[in-house]
Amino acid sequence: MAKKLIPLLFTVLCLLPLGLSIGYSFLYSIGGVGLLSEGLTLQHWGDLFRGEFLHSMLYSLWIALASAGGALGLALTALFTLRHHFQSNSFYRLLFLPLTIPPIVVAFVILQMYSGSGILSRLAVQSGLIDGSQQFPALVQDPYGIGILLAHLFIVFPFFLLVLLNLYQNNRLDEIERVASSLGADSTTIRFKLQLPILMRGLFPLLILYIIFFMGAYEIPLLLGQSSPQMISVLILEKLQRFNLGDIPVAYSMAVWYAAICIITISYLLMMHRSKEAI
Amino acid sequence: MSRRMVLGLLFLSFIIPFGVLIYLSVSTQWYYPALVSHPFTFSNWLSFFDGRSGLLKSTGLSIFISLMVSMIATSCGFFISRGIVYYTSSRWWLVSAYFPYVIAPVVLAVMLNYYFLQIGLSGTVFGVMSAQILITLPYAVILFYGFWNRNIRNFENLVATLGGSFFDKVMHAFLPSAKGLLVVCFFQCFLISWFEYGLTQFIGIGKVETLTIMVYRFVAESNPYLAALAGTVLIIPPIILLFVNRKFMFRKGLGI
Repeated sequence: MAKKLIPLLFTVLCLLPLGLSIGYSFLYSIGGVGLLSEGLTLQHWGDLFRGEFLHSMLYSLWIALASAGGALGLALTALFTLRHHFQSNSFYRLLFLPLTIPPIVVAFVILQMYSGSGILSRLAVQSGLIDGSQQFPALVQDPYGIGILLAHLFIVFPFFLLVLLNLYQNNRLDEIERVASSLGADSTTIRFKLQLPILMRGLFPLLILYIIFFMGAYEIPLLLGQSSPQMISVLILEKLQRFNLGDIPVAYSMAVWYAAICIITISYLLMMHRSKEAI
Repeated sequence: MSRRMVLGLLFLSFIIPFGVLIYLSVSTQWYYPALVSHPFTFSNWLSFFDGRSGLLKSTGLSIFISLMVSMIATSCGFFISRGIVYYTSSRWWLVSAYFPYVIAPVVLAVMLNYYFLQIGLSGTVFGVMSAQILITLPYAVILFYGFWNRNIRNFENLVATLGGSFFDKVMHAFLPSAKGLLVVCFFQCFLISWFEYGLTQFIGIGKVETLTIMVYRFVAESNPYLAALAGTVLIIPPIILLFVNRKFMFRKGLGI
């Protein structure tokens, strides 16, 4: 009984709602349902790849890659240069602190610090560097997404560092370094040809997951992003909540494509990971 | 720049957000370009405790939703993961558990909203909880998936051989072995629910006023003082959880 019941329960609780929601969104996107539906059409899908959706996906990808890449670079630098300091109990525990702040609060703090009327701008005025907020560079709601990147870095850098510190210890990279060094390898060879590949192999699935999460980030770009281009989640919501009912099928088309990209990516990643394990 | 200075700057950057939140929560009339020359007040905190700002009610609601969601997700996820490991052979069951989890919650909410409207769950606390369970439950399944290894199965068989019922297996085999993981899962699900904004906003249509919703509302109303206050209240439970949870979180850390 339980043999069938448990997988059925999982299907009903987790997979069925997802399947139904993607199904409804798909139908809406091709004109199968909806208030203004005039029959089946692929027009909304066709429109996606000519305008906002494509820009938004590329912008989201840029933000996700830059955030994950930046956090990885910083975490690796901190690992290789400051590793011994994190053997201290208090320093190690401090790395958990940023993980206690919700993304919307991080976005609010970044806004209060880096906006034209924020703390840094006030400091610059008080110290005589600038005369007013208009002279302060745009660090939030800017075209390059600097504010969003700063928020993402704040959230994920300590987490990546924690994971890397654990990978370093679990893979006994200190011992590998000693052995390689005694065999005559220089520090560059040890770092880049021995330690880095081992660390990256351990971190890779997490890195991909974070790239997917960052692409779908909502509250941080909502507060810190500009009005165009927008990140994909913000754009979908904006399309859906506009007064123009004609935008609703477009929003559902975007949601379906975005969901499909996420599902295909994670499936590929997990199956590929499985194949490597099997080898 | 010495390594100690870099380390100091690093941790300063971790501490600053907490300082900014507390500083703004006791500030008022913070007009540009004043930095410290504005009045300070505890009236924001008083309005929190006497319920005028509505934040006390939001705090209670957020705690209720997060506790319920984490309890349901942890308990259901524990037994569902057992069923999937024991009674299925295809890896797709595990892979499919990632699907609701990797799609941005707000996009999931957009796609789910039609059904929530039809059932009458939109704009209700129960609706928000149901939607959050759709994310936290697969997370719990993924987290517990690795727990059901050969040792646990042998342990379970031993209890059965000695005449134990399923209840005995739960009490004497599962729970003692999974205690640590259950606590970690409960806290993680609590935090996912506690931090959630987009899905809560869309399914709750602004009627379910959790703390994250209030933060955004105060920011939109250009009231950074109450937004900072709500933000401060939001980070208190995670810090408490971090303190309570340190036994499980720090155990594997660098042998500390």
